Amino acid sequence: MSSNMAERSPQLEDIWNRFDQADFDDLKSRAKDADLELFNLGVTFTVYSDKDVIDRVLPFDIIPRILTASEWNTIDRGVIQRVSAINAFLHDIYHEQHILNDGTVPRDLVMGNANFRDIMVGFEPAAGVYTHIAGTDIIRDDDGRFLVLEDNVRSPSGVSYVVENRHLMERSFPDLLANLRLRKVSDYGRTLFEKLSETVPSGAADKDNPQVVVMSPGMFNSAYFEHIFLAREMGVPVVEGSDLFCDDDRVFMKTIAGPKRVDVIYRRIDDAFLDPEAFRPDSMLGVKGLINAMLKGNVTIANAIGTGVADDKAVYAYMPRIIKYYLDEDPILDNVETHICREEDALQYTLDHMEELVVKPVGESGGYGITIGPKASREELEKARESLLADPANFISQPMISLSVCPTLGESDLVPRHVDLRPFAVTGKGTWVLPGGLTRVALREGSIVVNSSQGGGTKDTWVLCGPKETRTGGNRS
Amino acid sequence: MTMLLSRYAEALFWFARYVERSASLARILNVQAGFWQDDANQENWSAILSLYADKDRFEEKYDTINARNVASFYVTDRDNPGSILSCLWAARENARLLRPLISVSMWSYINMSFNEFSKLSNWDLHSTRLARTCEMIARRCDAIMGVTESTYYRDAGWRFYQLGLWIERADQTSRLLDVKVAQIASTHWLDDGEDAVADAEFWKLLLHSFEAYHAFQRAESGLLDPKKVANFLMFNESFPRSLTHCIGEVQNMLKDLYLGYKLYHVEYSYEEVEKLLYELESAANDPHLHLRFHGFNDKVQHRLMEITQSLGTSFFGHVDVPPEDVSSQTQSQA
Repeated sequence: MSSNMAERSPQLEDIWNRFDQADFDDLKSRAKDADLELFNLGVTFTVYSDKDVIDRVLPFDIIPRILTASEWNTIDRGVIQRVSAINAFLHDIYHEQHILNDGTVPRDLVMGNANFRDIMVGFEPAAGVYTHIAGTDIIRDDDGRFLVLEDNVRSPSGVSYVVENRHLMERSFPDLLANLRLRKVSDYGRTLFEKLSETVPSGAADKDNPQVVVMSPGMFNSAYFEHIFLAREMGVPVVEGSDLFCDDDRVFMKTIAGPKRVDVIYRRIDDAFLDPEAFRPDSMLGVKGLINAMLKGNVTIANAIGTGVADDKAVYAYMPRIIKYYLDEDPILDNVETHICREEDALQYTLDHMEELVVKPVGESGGYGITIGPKASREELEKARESLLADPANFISQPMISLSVCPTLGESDLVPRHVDLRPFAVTGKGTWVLPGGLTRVALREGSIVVNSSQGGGTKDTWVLCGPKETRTGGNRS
Repeated sequence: MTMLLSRYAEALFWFARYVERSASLARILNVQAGFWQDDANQENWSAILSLYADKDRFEEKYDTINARNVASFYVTDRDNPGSILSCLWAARENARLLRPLISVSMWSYINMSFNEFSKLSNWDLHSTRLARTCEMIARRCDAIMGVTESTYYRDAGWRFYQLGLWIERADQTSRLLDVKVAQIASTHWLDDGEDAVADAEFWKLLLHSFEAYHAFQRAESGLLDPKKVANFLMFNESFPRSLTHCIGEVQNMLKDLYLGYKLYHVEYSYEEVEKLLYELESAANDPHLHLRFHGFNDKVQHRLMEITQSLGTSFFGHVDVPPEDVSSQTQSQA
């Protein structure tokens, strides 16, 4: 068998030789065992039906995606830079609004954004952090450059797979991993706890030992496994809205010994459902009074309310300028070239080049509503043109990037499949990036859509240690 | 240390109850399968329906009480919330909620077991297979409890798990005794002794339902005296399924919560337990218990519901529920 395809640099030759020499049938049968193990361990995303719960394993490909120390260094620095700029941007738009006043970013893009929360205007979040947890989607083009495809700064998911995939590899393929110097990923929970603790609010009950909780919409949520994973790794409870209540602008959880103060909430619930008093009155998931408790400085909500403005696909287009504006640096990671259809030139350009471009609605996630020009039929293009003209501001367009491929276990051999990467950054006093991240892979031949909802799977992501690094090395800035 | 969330405490309590209930049901069916050859003897199968007060629910769906129907009603029927599969489903959903607290192996065991049992088919319930299937289910439940025993961190949550386990076990013992004894009450009776030999087979089966046969032989050698059997299952302090033992453990757990965790509001439940222990003691000394046997068991079961309810108000954040709603509450939690 051969893994002779893209993303093989000479530095990785030794590792790829291991895979080349492995017996395919043996790999295949161990991969099957690994899938079963994931299922039995309940490393699943959950789909509820009437009477049963259907646990689905996110397809796991056993061929890792491997990044060298210097490749990782670029990503690490690039992500930290990006997160700093996003936090500065969020602070600015909820305070002085310099960037809007001088027209660097169009005002209506921010003020008219559905994710802008008036309630946050003038509010100072603890340690100045808005996006405590960020997941940046990164792809690689033909030239091997890393490009940012999307920022996820509300509640990015998938980190549990990064850690579980590694555990699974260690159990299933100890021979392939033997003596490799990989950066470890098992620190995530502890670091997340540390960083969240650094954003303890001024009104906390005990600033040295803050009570952190993970707030989940509950078992019906497809990412429930991740919520419990995070709580378990941090050693904190998973709470649902019904476990919490507010009194005197403080947040409490209901325990067997009575009410206990809560200081930091890592919420995995959308803004709109957090507090029926502040947002959607019909929310059953939220807690009445939570937002007031936050505004009074008695509880930290991570990520902060209203961060969604920054991961809007239209704001994304301005990100290189945002980085320059706040940090006075050039972006370490470039954006994919993006045309903002709300701008007349860009709209015209997009309409003229529909069959070359990928057209994306700015308000959707999960790969929905995307038109991939080069692969679309005439009817599909016509439909996309209509939606585009009906509401140009809702769209951006980008050239079709031929995503890099990575060797992937096929039916009878290793086959090239497109991948992307979502590194996870956690921010408290400073930002730390988990070395590696979630590699998603489009398992269908030719497909470039890597979302789990569209037939994508995941891979373990290996980051090699640099010559002087130890396995435990993790830069914490 | 983070104090246990009420929701988790309740889930631990019910997780234990559902696993114990499944195991108990599997044991009873297993023993019952011994009657299979005698399919005409519907009474034995109908007795199980009385045991869980399920006759009406059963009749909604099945026209005849026979081995096949009862087995499917109690093993694989997801429309029956009291079936083994439904109980294990409920146990698994509680475990899912508890995953931040429980060990990976605990979750993995319950998850695998449920997935395996949901594949059970009619073939597994066939007369030639039923005993084996039930045996397998009971062993799996034992394994789940074994993994729990060997991996669960001994925090306050452990006490709620134990409370659920012992309360459910007491409840099952009391129900089974009640219905089994009632089964022959009309024809023979405990204290005249003359039919004891003829009934030996029955009492043996009863002991087997509790996996108590050998323990009983060790404690009481000689003939299977019905009175001794009944006393053993109710009042023997050393037998882990006897009422006295189970309630003693409940008391121990409440003491732990009071002394070790300073949860002083445990006192309401404690009072209920003391009342029950007192009633057990007077029953043990009552020479005419057999005449009031059914009433006594009713009282036991009612008292167990009271204890459960007091835990609900003291720890699980329930508001007081009028007593008539209590019985339905024990079935509804998932």
